[in-house]
Amino acid sequence: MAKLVVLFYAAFFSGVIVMYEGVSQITPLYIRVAQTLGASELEIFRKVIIPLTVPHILTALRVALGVAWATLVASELIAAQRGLGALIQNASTYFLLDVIYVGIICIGFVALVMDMILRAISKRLLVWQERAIS
Amino acid sequence: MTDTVNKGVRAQFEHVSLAFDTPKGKLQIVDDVNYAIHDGDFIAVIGPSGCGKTTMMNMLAGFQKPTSGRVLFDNAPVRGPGPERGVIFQEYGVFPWLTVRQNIAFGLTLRANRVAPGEREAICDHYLSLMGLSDFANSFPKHLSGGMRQRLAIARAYAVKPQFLLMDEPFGALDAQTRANMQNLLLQVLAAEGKTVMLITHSVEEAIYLASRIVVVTARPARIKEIIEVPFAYPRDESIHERAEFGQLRSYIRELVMSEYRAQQAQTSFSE
Repeated sequence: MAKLVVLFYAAFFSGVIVMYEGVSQITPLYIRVAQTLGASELEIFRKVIIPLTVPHILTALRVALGVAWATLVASELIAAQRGLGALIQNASTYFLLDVIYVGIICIGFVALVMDMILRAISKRLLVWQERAIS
Repeated sequence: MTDTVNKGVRAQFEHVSLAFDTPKGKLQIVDDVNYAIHDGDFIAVIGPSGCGKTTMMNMLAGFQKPTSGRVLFDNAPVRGPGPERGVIFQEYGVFPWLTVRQNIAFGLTLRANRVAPGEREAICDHYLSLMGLSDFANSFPKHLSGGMRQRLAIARAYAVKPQFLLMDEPFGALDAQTRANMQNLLLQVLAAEGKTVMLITHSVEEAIYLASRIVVVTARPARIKEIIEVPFAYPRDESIHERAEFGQLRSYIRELVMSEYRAQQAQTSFSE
């Protein structure tokens, strides 16, 4: 539980900053268009602001995920009781190189899988986006 | 065009002025503008770029409030944007996250002008075929060319059936052929649906070809320099470009606009 709090604390602010900067770049043009078509405040929020925010939510999630993993590696290696971090620590005490490598590769692999899942979700949700790199 | 006098007034500018407070002092954008737009009019507002003509349109659209004077629409002061005043923006503003069909349907899904799903599809189909976008109905705007995006923006504005259209240099970014094509399409749609239009433009030809009345605006601050009736009856076609009156009117208006442009240039270099 304490681990979760530390990770959340580390990742939350980087995510918020990325998201805040992204959302503040949204052009008021789309809001004006919606207004001239007769949209109410609530409709503008639901049908214009939210779709425009989704890409920034996803970017913020990816950044937060990266920060969370970096923090996780550090915290696991210092104070882990059980799990992959503890496995690596114990193995290093007995100089079991193969076990250490299994631990490291597992951590990297899980992070990679999580990022791939997030990228797949982004790709699905953002088919409409015009991108220079796809 | 003498019959315009008898028609009802839709929009009216009454001693409208607008100024901004800048660090350098007060900047007057629009200065004591007075004119009325009657039902069925096609008004083109023309003037040097940066003179405040878009600001005039923004006040009627409800995005900006005059510092003094009143902007009336159907005899009531404009309070904010509304679906009875359709706006077509210079930058199109097509929603990139919706398909072409969903873009056209957007206005019809709002509470202000909601229609039954069946009717909504019918309206979408009508404008898809009118604008030649049927083949792209389910594509996203990123696959469309500039001209197609513009047609989509026009279709989306038309779909909620505004009686009054405000167009801010709608064809400014298009190539010459697409522009001519879009102008003709606009004339066709107007002939079929009878709307009142205020068009902001910097093209003298476009103003004469489309409008029933041309409002020439001065260099900043925008005042009305002259209001010119265009002596051609609707329906119009491209042949009016060849008429002698067209050429005379064009040189006359171009000279008016150019003199204001020079005034604006002098003013800008003076202030810097």
